[in-house]
Amino acid sequence: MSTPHQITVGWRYRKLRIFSVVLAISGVSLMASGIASASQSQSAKHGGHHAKSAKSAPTASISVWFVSNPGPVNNYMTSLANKFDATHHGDRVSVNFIANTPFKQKLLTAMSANKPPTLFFSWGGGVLQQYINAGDAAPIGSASAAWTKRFLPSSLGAVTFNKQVYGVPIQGTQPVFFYYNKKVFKKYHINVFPKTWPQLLSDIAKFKKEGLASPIEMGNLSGWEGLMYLEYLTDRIGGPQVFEAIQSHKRNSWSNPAIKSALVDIQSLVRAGAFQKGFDAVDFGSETDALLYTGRAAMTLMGNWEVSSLLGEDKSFVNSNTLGQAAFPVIPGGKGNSADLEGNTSDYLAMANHVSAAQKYVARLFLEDEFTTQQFAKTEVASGQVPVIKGSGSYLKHANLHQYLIPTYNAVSSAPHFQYSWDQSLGSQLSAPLYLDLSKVFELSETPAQFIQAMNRAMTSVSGGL
Amino acid sequence: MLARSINILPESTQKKVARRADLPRKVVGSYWKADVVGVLPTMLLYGFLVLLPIVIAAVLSFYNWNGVGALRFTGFTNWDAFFHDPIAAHSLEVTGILAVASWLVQTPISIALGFFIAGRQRYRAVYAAFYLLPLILSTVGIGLMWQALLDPNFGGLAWLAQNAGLSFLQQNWLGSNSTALWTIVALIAWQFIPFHTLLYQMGRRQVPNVLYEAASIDGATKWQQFIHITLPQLRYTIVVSSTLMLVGSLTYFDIIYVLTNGGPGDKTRVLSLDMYQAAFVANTFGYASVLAVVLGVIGVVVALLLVRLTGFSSLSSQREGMA
Repeated sequence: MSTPHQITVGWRYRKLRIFSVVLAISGVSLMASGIASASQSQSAKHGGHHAKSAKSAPTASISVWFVSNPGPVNNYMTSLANKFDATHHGDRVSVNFIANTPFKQKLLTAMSANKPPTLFFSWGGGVLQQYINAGDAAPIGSASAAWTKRFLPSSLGAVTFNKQVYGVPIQGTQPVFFYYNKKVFKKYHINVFPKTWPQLLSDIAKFKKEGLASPIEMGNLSGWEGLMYLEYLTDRIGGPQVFEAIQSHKRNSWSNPAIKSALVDIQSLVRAGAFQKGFDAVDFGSETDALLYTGRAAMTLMGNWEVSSLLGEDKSFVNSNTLGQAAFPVIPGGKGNSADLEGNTSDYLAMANHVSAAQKYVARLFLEDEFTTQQFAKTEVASGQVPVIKGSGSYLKHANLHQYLIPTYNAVSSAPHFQYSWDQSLGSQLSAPLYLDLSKVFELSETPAQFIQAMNRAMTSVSGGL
Repeated sequence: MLARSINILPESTQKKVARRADLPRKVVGSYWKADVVGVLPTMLLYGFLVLLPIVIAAVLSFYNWNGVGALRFTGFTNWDAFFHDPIAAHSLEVTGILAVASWLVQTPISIALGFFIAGRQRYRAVYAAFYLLPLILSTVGIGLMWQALLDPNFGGLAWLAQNAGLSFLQQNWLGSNSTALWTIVALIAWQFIPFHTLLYQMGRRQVPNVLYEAASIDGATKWQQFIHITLPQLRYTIVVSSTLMLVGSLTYFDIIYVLTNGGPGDKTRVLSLDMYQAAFVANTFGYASVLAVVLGVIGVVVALLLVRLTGFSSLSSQREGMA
């Protein structure tokens, strides 16, 4: 596929959550329908479901809910479903494409109403775990199943719970890098992207001094873009174990000195005037992209979808190789490995629990036949993605944008630790205060100590409450 | 009764009144049943879509529920959390400031504009068409439009600042702690002043001109006429408009959601946005129900207070003694 496209942008990365406004307005009535359907689903769960006995290979129609993604990803979902229909007599896969934000709430309603799709799009992590805990998601296979060996080890962590795998990667990996405008760097006589944090700060000072108002562009309206700084800094300073303690809800784990030090670093960046004016009133999108390709900003920290996003905004900027990609700088004396990555390991299809045994059988077949093969890896590469299937590095050489795809693949293959985005890992209840308090840190209206206190408190209330 | 005793109604009407009064009890009873059947569809719709959800939200506020999984009864835990939640307290404060500021900004401008377009001159009708334009735009559209205009890097105001020498326009309107809330107040006013202008235009047109004529014969100045004729005559218009403004800004959500998402930090985080976040970002539906109930109660109390304090409920005439 020669047309570049927007690589998956997770729900949290979407700007147009406007449709949920309607839901908020009718929030009260939605809660009402929720409570009604929840009690319904309870009784249905007790009643059990009539499963076909699956002695000979059963046939079934299955439904897939997929987060719509303009471009080749939608196309290959449809063609894989059609191919499966043609080769598996009696089975039928119907794919429903749903826009990003409505999807999340629609799935929640379908789950609590006990009328789920057979397979559903998932980002893994804490949100998927909520469905598993509620008995709404079924394992696809054990963590030792043969097909799991076909994936890069880091790619299944977000969907593996209790030695069971609950999701199959269906899109490329999305690590976060610094993306920079080589022309701007050249103009201000900075020849290489800074490798260390102090170097980054001194480069920013140089940019500022010579008249570049906003060396770094960021769109922190909904809070996740700032979070990437905290994720990387924490890992570079204290290593992966800092967040592991937080993720296991260890008491006062936010008080780790690495967190404080990371927050101090963030505020020194803000105080240096690194970010553009109004960075907290804009989301990732064409405005922030424009800052980078018009040369009003020198760099941005972003998932690798930034490449295709920029390609959509200004083709020549990307094709002329003006866009650079670099690893997050090293903190001198930090415990983390400089090759550690942060981002979304992959996107997945997960399976609902309250569907017939025949549907589960067909769904597993569909996933294994279509999404775990070298053929699929080639399809992904053709659509501009970096597959998480082992051995796909060789397909990348001739791909469009290989200058970005190959370093990404190499970074993912060799990363000692690929930290899955904190907001997805922690689940919704903790990510809400995390966004809010971190945005205050970025606006300098909250001190690191206040942030730590607020997050420790939020965590106790979550572990105590749910 | 009154009609019969003073005999001013036409004879046919008198007969009807009499007939209704003379009807046997049984027939009146069947009328009552017909009334019930008549209002039943509305009652059912209202009951299921308005009353029932309110009751369920109140019940849900005593549970923990993440949207999937089981409901867990937790007693007053959510309510207790609400009374110790600094973010909710802050949101209440922001909501209060927004409501009062909106009233203070919108009322005088709406009255002035309303009176202006109440005049019958044709050029005023032309102006009115422009003034009322925001009324027909969708709120989300308004939000996106202003977001583009206010963007400090690429926005229309920034362009004016750089190219027209209006450097005071070069502000971080939505992203700065000192301007964000006031920018929101201004944009809400921009959106809703047209509606209230219409109310005041109608109110002004209903004030009989004889009052002004009489007053000017008595030598009253324009200002005196405004204070002693117009304002008292517009009493109910003011009550209706103020109630809509105050209760409306309590639940105001869309523009803030689109423009600032409550930011910077929580500077513009109104209670309705806090509720949205609790329900659909944090998936804590029990706690969100607490916020919904609080919001509902405040809205009802404010509306009732306004009606009581202004004597709106008595519906007494403002034209008593007028010929």
